Order: sequence, then C-alpha cells, then structure tokens
Amino acid sequence: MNGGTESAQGAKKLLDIQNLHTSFFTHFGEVKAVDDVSLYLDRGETLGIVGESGSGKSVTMLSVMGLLSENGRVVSGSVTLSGRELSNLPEREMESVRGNEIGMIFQDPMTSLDPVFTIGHQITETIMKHKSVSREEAKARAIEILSSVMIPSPSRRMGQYPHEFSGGMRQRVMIAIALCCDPDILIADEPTTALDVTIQAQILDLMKDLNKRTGTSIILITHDLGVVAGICDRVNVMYAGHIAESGTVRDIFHMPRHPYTWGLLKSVPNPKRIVKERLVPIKGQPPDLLKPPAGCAFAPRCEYAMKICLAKRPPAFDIAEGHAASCYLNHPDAPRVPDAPVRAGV
Amino acid sequence: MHSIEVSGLKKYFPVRKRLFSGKAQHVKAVDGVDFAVERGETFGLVGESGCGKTTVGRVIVRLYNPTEGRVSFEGTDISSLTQRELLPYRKRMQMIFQDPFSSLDSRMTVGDIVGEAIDIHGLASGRERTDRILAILDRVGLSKWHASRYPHEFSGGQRQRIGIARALVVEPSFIVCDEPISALDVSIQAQIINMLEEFQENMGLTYLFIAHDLSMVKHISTRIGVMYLGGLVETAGSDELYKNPLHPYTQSLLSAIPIPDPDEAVRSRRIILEGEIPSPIDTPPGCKFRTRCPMAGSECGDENPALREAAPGHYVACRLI
Repeated sequence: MNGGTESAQGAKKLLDIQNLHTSFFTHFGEVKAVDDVSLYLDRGETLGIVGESGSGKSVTMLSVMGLLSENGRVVSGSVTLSGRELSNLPEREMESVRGNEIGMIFQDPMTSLDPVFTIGHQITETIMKHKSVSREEAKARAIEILSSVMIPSPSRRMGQYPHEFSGGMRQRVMIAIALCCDPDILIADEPTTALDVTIQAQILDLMKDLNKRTGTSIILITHDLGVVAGICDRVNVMYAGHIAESGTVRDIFHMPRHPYTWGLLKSVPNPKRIVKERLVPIKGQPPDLLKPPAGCAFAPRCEYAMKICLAKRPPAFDIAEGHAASCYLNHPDAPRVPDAPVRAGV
Repeated sequence: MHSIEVSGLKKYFPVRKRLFSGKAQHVKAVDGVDFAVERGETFGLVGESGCGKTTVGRVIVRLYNPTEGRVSFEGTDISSLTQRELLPYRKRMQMIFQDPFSSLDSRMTVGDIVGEAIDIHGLASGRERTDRILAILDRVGLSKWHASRYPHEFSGGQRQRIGIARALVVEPSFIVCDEPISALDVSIQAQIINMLEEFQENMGLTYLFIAHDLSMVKHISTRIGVMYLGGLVETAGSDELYKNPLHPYTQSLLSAIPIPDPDEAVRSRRIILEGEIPSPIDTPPGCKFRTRCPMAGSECGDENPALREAAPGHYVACRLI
C-alpha cells in the first residue's frame, strides 16, 4: 500500500497481505475475485473491510484462511502471520493456524453449526482438536468461554442443540467457538447481517468488549458503513476485487478521497439529519468480473472519470500517513474536484 | 381521506396441537392493530423479525384473511369480500416483495411477468398491451430489449425494478412495499428508493413501507408505526418519532441504529436491551414488552396498554408515559 510507513510499523503488524491475487476458474473463464490486494492488521486493532457483494472482501479472508472452494485458487501474493508465510503452508499446519491463531465466524450461524450435536459437544470437540487437554478440562473451558460471551446459565446451555438457540445466541456460540483456543485474530464475516438491530447492537458490543478485554485483533467484513463507524479503527474499502481506499475511520468518513467511497457515504441516509434530502445513488452496476474494465474498475460508474481512468488502472496514491486512495483524482496534476463531498463539520 | 384504515386487526396462525391436552395453539402474528394511512403519504412500519409487520401488509392486500378486525380501502371494507369481489380492488392495491429472486417466475420472460398483471385485469391486449409493457419498463429504467429476457439474466437491483414494473403497470393507488431494498447492495438501494419517491410524486401513490432498516424508513416515510410482538407500540410523524421517541422500545430501537459517522457513534448513548423477544405463542400477560423493558414496574403486568395520544399526532402504548 504505502511503502514508507510499512517498515516503520513492521514490528506491530500481525497479519500482512501483499499483492494477493485469487481467482475462481469457472466454465465461463477466470473470475479475478481478488485482484492485487494488499492490506495489514496491527496487533490489538479492529480493521473493517467494506464493500458490496462481489467486491472480494470475503474471498480475501477465505484466501488467508485457506478455505477457498474447489475451483478457487490463490494465484500469487503473500500472506504472513506474525512474520510467518501462510500461503505455502501444508494443509496440516494450516489446520492448526485456523482455530489456534485465527478464528472465523460467518453471517449465518445456523449453517455453521451442526444441528445433530449439542453446543457443548461442538465447543469441547474444537478445544480438544486444537489443544492437548482432557475432556473434563475442555468442558470447563467451554463453560468459561460461553459465559465470557454473555450466554446466561452456560452449563445448562451446553446440553442444548443449535435449534434451541435464537439467532443472536447462535452468533454468540459461534464467537465462543472461534475464541475457544485464544486466537490472535478473529475474522468476522458479516456477523450481524442476519440479526435484528437490537441484537446486532448486543453482538457488536460483545466484540468491542472482547477486543478490549483480551486484546484479540478483529477483522470485520461488512457492507454496513454504520457498523464500521461504530467499531473499527481502520477501514479498507473494496470494489471489484481491488482496494479502493484505506485509512482510519476518520479518514474514510470525514476526508474520503475516492469517488466510490463518496458514493457509498452519500447513498445511506444519516438518521441524525433532520433535513430530508434526496439520496445520491451510484449510477449503474458493479462490473462483471469475467470481463473487468481495462482501467479503473469504478470508472464506468464514476462521474469524475477522466481519459486515463478508462485506460490505466490507478495505483494507490498516498494522501497522508496510513491513508491511501486508488484514484487518479489524487494525482498532483489531476483537476480539482470542485465540490469533493466531504462529511466534515458534522 | 384515508387510503387504508385498519382497525382491531388480528391474524392468528394455528400451530400443532399439544399431544395430550388437545388444546390448539396459535401464533399471534398480529394481535390487535389500528392505524390509518392518508392518501399520498408513506406510512413506515418497523420492528424486528417476528413482530408481525409483514403479516399486516399481507392481510391488508388480502394475501391472508384476517382472523378478526377490518381493513378498509378508500372507504370500502374489504376484509370480508370474496376473491371475485376483491378483483377490482386488487388492481388498485399492489405489492412489492423483499426477495427479487423468489418473487419472479423464473420460466416467464420479463414481458410476460409484467403482462400477466395486464391480462388478469383485462386492461389491454395486442399492440396496446405491448406498448404498455414497454412504457413501464422504460419508466423503471429497463430497456425494451429486456422484455424478452428471463429473470436469471438480471442482477438483484434490476429484478427489483421488474417487480416494481409489475406492480405499477396496473396503475394502482396503494402499494405495500415489503422490505423492498433489504436484499440489495447499498449503492443500489438508493437507486430504488429514489425511484419509489419519484413515482409517488408523479402518480400520487400511497405506500405502506415495511422494513427493519430504520434509517431508510425514516428517510422515506411521512409517518412511522413501531411494532413489537404483534402490536403497535408507537406511531408518530417520522421526524417527531426520531426526535422524541416516547416508548422505551422505540428508544432502544432507535439507539441501536448504527450511525455512519465515527464521531457521532462515539457520542451516542445506546440502550442495549436485555434478552430476546418472547414467543408469540405464549405472549406475556400485560404489556408485551415488559419482560425486556428497562423501566417496567409492577403495574405493567395488569393489562396490555392501548395506544393513546401523548402529543398531537403522536400515539404511544405505555402506562408509564
């Protein structure tokens, strides 16, 4: 991303993804789902990855975890976890990374839990798979972890099946399973999308609290800018397999420098605003990744697109330390956008 | 004049009988709801899953028959009409569904999907029918080439446009929009919302907008009703509701909306509700919200409070206010 700051922060970096390319090989051809993505996660921070469906946000993390479906493959790039390269690790060692070092939770907790086993069984199995402990110790640990995700009367709940839990409770169980071996990183892929707002607030609070209490770093994948604003330290905005913009939450919400980020911010209403104004949608639709556009992937929908945007893919322009945007408008010779929509002064 | 007036509406769904007691049980999806929607306005109905908001919408357009209560549409009670008698009203009341994937017949072309509505109501045939289909496709931002294609060839946002075209082609006056944008990507949601607003201005439509996304509901609605466990707990103008929520449930619901601004997110105080919604089969006696209410007192167990006017146009069902 931004070469200058990388070496300075090198020591803090927990997870470092460099120039990742992941493709799916289908009957219709190669789909470049992740196309040259670089991002990093510092120890103890909460990183948001925002994008719409098909932007490659989930595939990036599935590539890290080695959980791609059969027709998907990491074509090139490197993923290092605390300095250790993951991308060429044998499957056996990857298995120990998953669980012990990185835990992951998904959008739909019902399909991630096995309906024929009790919750207690599923948690103790996970613990015993990753840690050399007796069944008794694993059970005690499971109860402890269930109470740490605020599940009331955990020892009674251990004997129940997934269908006896509500959606919010199931997501707590998933978080408990992901955290039962004290991983350094929790990857949460749209963890609250299937939940109601009041339950979403409970789960987000829980994640914030776990991050503070245990120091677990979190990668939160979401399409919801509101969720990101409330919980993340830094944000990567993804579009069509690329990183469009990256920076701190403040950078992204108050000083965005990529037209796609502007578009996202302008297309959601802010409930705190009293004056009713028309939403400004982004025109058109995301590109077909089988036939990606030649230049900037966003250019066909961008109202500021210049000639160069249609011909050449923009590099990441550094705007400030830790803030970069892949858009030619940030080139020193680019014309000034008169009314760059900035959400300052809120 | 009211477009829709709902009074004492109840809809119970039977569930399996207990094995030995033989007592039939019911899911009380809608349990006594009253509200009215003025012509030309958008009435937003919000609440969490299972609160009965979708059922209300479906009973209004008579996809379900009400268990009790009445629904009047432009002054006529339609809750007890036969299917045949309903047909002329069906033309004026339409529905847009949440899932643009399952609500379109995958074996019909877009032209036929839209045309079917014209045929059912016998509105046009031959050349005129085709013209009407193409005209409405154009108005929802699709081209005439799309008429001969099948739903799977379209993206989610485009399918929702087809669903809107199907609803609008019979020139209704009232549309139930049941979570019309929740399956769509953020950048596409705004396109659909703006389109619905434009049609409302140009055609004088009345909407019942059902959603769980409170910020979008606030954006599009004139007035909002908040539902909890089959009943309305508060109704007010949309700005009034957001500025001055009275019911403890509304307050916590509004405080849970994620705000797309990091500074405001830090400043805002959230009321996190304990526990979860009780089962709609065994609803607690008294106020249904009291099991989760941070303010509940002993008097809340006596009876389920009715909506009463707390300020002009602002109704709330809570004994503590």
